[in-house]
Amino acid sequence: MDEPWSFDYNNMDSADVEKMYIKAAFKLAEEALDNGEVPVGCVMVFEGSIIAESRNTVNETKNAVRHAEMNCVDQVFEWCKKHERDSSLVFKNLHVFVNVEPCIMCASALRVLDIPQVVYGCNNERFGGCGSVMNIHNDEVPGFGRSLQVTSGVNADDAVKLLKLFYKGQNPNAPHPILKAQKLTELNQTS
Amino acid sequence: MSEKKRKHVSPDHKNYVNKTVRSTKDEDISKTNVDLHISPWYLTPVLADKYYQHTESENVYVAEVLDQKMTAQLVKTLSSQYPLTGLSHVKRVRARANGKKNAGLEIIICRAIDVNINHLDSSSTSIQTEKIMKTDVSHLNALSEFCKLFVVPKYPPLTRKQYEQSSQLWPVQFHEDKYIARVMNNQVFTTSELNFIEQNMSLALKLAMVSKCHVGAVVVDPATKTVVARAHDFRNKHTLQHAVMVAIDLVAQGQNGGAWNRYGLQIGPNLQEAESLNDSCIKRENHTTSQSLDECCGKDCRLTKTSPYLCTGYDLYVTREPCTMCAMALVHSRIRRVFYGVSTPWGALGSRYKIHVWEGLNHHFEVWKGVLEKQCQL
Ligand SMILES: [Zn+2]
Ligand SMILES: [Zn+2]
Repeated sequence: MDEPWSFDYNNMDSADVEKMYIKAAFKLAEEALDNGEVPVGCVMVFEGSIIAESRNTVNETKNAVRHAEMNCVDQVFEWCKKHERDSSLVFKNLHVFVNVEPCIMCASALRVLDIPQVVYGCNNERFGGCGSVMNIHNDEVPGFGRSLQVTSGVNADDAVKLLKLFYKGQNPNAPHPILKAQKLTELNQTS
Repeated sequence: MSEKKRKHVSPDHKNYVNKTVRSTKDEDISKTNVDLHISPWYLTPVLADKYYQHTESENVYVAEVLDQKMTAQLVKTLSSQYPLTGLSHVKRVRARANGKKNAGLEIIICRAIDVNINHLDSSSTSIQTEKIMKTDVSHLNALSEFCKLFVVPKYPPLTRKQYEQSSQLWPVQFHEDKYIARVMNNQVFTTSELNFIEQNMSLALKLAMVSKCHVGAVVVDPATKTVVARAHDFRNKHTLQHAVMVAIDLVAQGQNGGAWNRYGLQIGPNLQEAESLNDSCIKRENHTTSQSLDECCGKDCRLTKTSPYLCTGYDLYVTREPCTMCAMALVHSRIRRVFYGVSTPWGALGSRYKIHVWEGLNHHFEVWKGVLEKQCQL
């Protein structure tokens, strides 16, 4: 299969473009799952190209705040340095795609950076900051930028399935090889 | 949302701390022109709003008990006909409050909202008892002809103050939470613990003073009284490197994890800063070489450290109230307690939100504010 971002997205309508980037995020989420992390992946798009792509690395970094979005933000800073761009301007024009609703912390980060919009797949019932647990995306908070435009529900079913696989595997008696096999069969059944 | 101000520390209380800071070796810090004289500070708990709320009330209809021998029977009949749903803390019967002894008893017939089902106006101040109580004549004869609209406390009291307010409306049950009572009466910390709190905040304050962004934070393991991470704010270089986020990553780095040591986005101080800071530079304390921590880790401590929730059991000291991002990062990290100096309008641990007690989140933690409050106003 082609890499999703190798499509000629100029000839696609915006919903297709959204789906394409969400699929890219989804691939990263699968990679997270394969590594025993909560399956969340994120891509950040600037002027039509992906300038940051990452996934959850909480276990790998032993840092519970290393969510996909936070890793991507660091990559954007690196990209700006490399390309000598003003990071605050880049963030103001950035598009964020993630397979699960950003948590309260990540939604706050997006607001702090004045990122205009986020597209995501399924809701995050435990930590969601864009309506599920708190309304960080559009609450009035001193020091926050514009409110965050939210598009939710893009390929939500796939995202829910992936999360369910992870939480099934949370059972300490179910080691990761089984999780992986289970994942493959379930995905094959659905595709 | 805004927190009700509670000045609950009396000046003679033991939480009152007034002394000068020991002279610091750090020349750079003494140069910074900040008054290191410690003015009195007051430790204030930041509890959920429910502990500060005034008593809300609900309407009920109350009749007088004319034949007191019938009281037990009446209670039995009424509790099946009109259970006080949601008002289980409210006592069904009370002695009449007209100042005299033996002035008789009053009984709650039903909640005002129950009256609607009988197609009566639930706001009328007086209703004929027989219209709402479907029972035999012997019961009705034991009650006054009319029942009157009364207010009772809608929620069970959580604090003694709420209990006293509630009791003025109607007698209620009160199961006092002993720990919350100690928190509200400032009986949680001993003098030496308060000194330890002040000492940790002094360290955070020093870090704040050398930071261009004037925010400092330290993570402390209270079991061993060791500092696990010292951090300050780098948001001038990286918008998200708030002191708390830096501190959390430094704790992870102390466990051979961390992220900001990998991306070339170093969060240690730049060399010049580090030189001038001497002993109190923003260095992580490596756990593996810390003897005191090894001692503590003989038991379950080491087990918890294999999980990514690296701040389990740790306390954070930060000079000013964290924002929503940092507060949620502390939830994710399973911090044990947070102490901060000064409140911020955007703060998420008391001012704009109370994320540490947010319903629907799976980890709650204790928050105390006001430590070295004056000094922390950098
Ligand atoms: Zn997040
Ligand atoms: Zn912050």
